[in-house]
Amino acid sequence: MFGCDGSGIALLEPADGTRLSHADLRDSVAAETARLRRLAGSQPALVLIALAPAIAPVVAHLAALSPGFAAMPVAPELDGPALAALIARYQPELVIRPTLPADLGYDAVAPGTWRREAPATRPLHPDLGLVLSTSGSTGSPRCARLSRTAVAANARQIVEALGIESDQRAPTSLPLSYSYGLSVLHSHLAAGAAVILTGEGLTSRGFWQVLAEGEATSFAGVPTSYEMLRRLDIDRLAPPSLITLTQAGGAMKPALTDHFLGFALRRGGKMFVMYGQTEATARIAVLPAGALPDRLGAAGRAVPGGRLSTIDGLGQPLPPGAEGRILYQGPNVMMGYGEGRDDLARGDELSGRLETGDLGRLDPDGMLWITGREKRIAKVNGQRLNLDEIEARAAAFGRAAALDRGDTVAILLAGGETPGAEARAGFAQGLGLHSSQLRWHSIADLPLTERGKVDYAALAARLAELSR
Amino acid sequence: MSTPEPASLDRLRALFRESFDLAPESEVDSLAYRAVPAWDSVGHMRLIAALETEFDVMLETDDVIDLSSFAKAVEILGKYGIGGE
Repeated sequence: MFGCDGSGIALLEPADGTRLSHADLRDSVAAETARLRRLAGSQPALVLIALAPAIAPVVAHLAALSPGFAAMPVAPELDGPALAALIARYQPELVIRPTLPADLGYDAVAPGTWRREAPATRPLHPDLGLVLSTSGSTGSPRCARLSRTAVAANARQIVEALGIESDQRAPTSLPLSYSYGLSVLHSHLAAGAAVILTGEGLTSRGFWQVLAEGEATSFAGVPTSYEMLRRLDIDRLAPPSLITLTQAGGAMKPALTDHFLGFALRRGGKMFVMYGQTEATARIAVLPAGALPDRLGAAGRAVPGGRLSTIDGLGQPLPPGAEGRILYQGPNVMMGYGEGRDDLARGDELSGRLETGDLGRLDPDGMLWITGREKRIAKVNGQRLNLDEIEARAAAFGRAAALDRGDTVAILLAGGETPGAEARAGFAQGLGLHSSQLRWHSIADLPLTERGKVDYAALAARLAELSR
Repeated sequence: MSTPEPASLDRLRALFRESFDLAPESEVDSLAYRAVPAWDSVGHMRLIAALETEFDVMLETDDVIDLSSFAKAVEILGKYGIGGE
């Protein structure tokens, strides 16, 4: 898939000591592709994979990126009604998962492999290679439809922008069903480098043991990961081999970036700050390591083969330095969104042109600075959350307004009481969050603008007073 | 090394329930890392912060990553002299 002819180690699973070379991986993927083909028949088939950080599901995922298939990786934890709803919407021909409820219309055709009984309502578009949820762990129905060429292009772009060499080894420090986590896998395989497969969290001793045993050279994290690592003391935990850090998944406090830049520099390594979206497969911009600390707070320059520009409300290009809507153009842009099976028959609707929904400005040398968002979106744990959707859900408790507070979301309820602990916990879980990442406040009324819309600026000011 | 007294144990149980969004009377003495969905990395650091605030201690890095169960928490807090006589 990634045109890698490397010969070194491709995948390590320290949990059971397995090591797979790139040559072995190519053989395994070829065998898995043939197996899936036999099971799926001759038509292009969608393969939903519970993409746990282990060799078998990773091989199945890579096979499903071959022509004649499209891969739909989901979190291994996705289960119950959310999994059933996703399967009903997208009608995958095959499901790769240890177990599957009996009433979904699938037959067990091999251990951990399930085949759909009824034919899907629409065929897949032949270019479709990867179907990725745009909001990660919640199993939201909205997905980015990515072509095989976009997936391969972004992997190459990342290899080039980060200078990934075949001797590098990255652990799965982020879920593989999340575009950033998946991009670590794809880019390292494309570079002939290795990925250390582990499901351990970075707050457990097991994670650091795996990094030491696998001689990890790099670590990928979202702002939340680095907040945790700061408390944990990375100097003490990271094995000596670990010298490269990458950060994406939302803006990180400059002081925190500076802290980890210090760690990387002490070890003669590099710290990369990056910007991206699932809609562009994963990566849009990378801040070259040498640009820190001078450009602390910048989002980086477009990845090779991509182009960033800013446009006004009418879509007209703006001069350098002017704040506007951020437009990205490149080979890694999705074909379009999908909300169900019928959409997967559609071709490319964007022609490589992605309006990111973010606001910012570009320096004359192409350096991007993000200043805000057009849409009401918050990012917590690197996951994108639609604030309007949270408001709609919170309406069950009263008139609600949701505000982005950096690493948390504030929910203000007008004229009612905030829900009890159990209801708050359930509400947070439905969004894939911890209850501590949602802050509930009760206020007398919701301030409105002259046009009768919720006045979010006034609310933010009131919230600042409440939290004082 | 000392073992936390019953009153500290009850405070500890309450902190576990609070940190992992568990019901007020739920059994936590056998709880271990990742046994409930809320005990992931984020939940873990939330628990650590709650322990440090409640018992006014600052846990060493090694203790933070070793605190993988309720029983381990009892043992580690004992090391910091919490709940002794």
